[in-house]
Amino acid sequence: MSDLETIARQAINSVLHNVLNTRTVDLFFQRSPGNDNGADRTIVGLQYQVRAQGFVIQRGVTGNDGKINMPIRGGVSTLELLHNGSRVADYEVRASTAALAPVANLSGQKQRLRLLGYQIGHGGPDGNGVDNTANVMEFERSVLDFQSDESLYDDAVINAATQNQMTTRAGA
Amino acid sequence: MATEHKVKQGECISSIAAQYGLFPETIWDDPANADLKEQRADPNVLSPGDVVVIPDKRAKEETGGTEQRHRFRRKGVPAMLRLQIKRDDQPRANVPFVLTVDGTSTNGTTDGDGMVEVPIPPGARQGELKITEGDVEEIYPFRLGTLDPLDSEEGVRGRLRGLGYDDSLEFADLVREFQHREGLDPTSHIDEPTKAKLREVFGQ
Repeated sequence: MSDLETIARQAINSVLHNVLNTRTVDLFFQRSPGNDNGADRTIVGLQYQVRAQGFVIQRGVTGNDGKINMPIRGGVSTLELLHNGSRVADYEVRASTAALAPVANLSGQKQRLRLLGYQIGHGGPDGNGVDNTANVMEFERSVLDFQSDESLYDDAVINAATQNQMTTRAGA
Repeated sequence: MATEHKVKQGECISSIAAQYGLFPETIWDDPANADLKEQRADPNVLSPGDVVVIPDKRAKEETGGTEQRHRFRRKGVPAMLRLQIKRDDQPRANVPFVLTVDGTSTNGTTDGDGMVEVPIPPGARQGELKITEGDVEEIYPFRLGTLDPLDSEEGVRGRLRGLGYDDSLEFADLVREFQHREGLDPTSHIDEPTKAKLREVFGQ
């Protein structure tokens, strides 16, 4: 775990200062997958706190857009969702441009669909919800749902248009 | 008879001066500390193990008539907390804050550069700055006086941590990321241009 921020005390007519900079990530909470045009999908008034380096570093409630501007310290923070003050869910959030696999790869597509709330099963020979030969259609089903929600041609083929839309929607 | 003080983690000239009842300048400008002064340049950032010579106190004589009341004022030298608060590299400008240092709270407003400037006790160890806006409370905890000199790995890590870098990275990777972001030659080493840039952007 990363150490707490260290700051020098200033003295002797010093003109020096120190900086505390926090990187943030915007997270959006929705009730169901799909685009967020319908305001009824966003989760408003969700109580949360963010913890890093052993300290609570932010507390708040989601607004009308379901958004949390989440601070990341020392590379990783934990988002704790609260209900009546008790923790009901934890999410570990890392700030890294390499956190998601490329959208052209199956793993990158699955990561984005999961973030967007689509159900992807663990069936198939590789446990990844994909089986081109038999009856495991979980991954294909989630792609069809996504394409349908996004008004794309719904053929479960992950072409450039579908990949672009996944990137846009997941925000990365 | 002057004494020698071995610096421990968390100490700086302000805290040491307060401990011995001297002004920070009296210690730092004493000829016996000339070598240390040259080596460290910055009295606010000493390394554990540094030796500071504490000069003797000089008596100050005051004349005053008997049967009269005399008022002596104790000269205390507070240290300053001068801290720039940023979020995604943007200063948190002109927002009200509550600063708590060693249990004492101060209210204020950051200036146009997101700067917080508050006098603090010289020996203060720990603090927390709180900014409340609407439903959201941002909390910035920190430790005081623990910043190490720039020529140590911990000193570099401490500064990069403050700037928002992921300091769980390997040191070379961390340094390269800073160099990359600042448009420096990505040597992965703390060379002079990197040191100068780090001093500039962190402010110390």
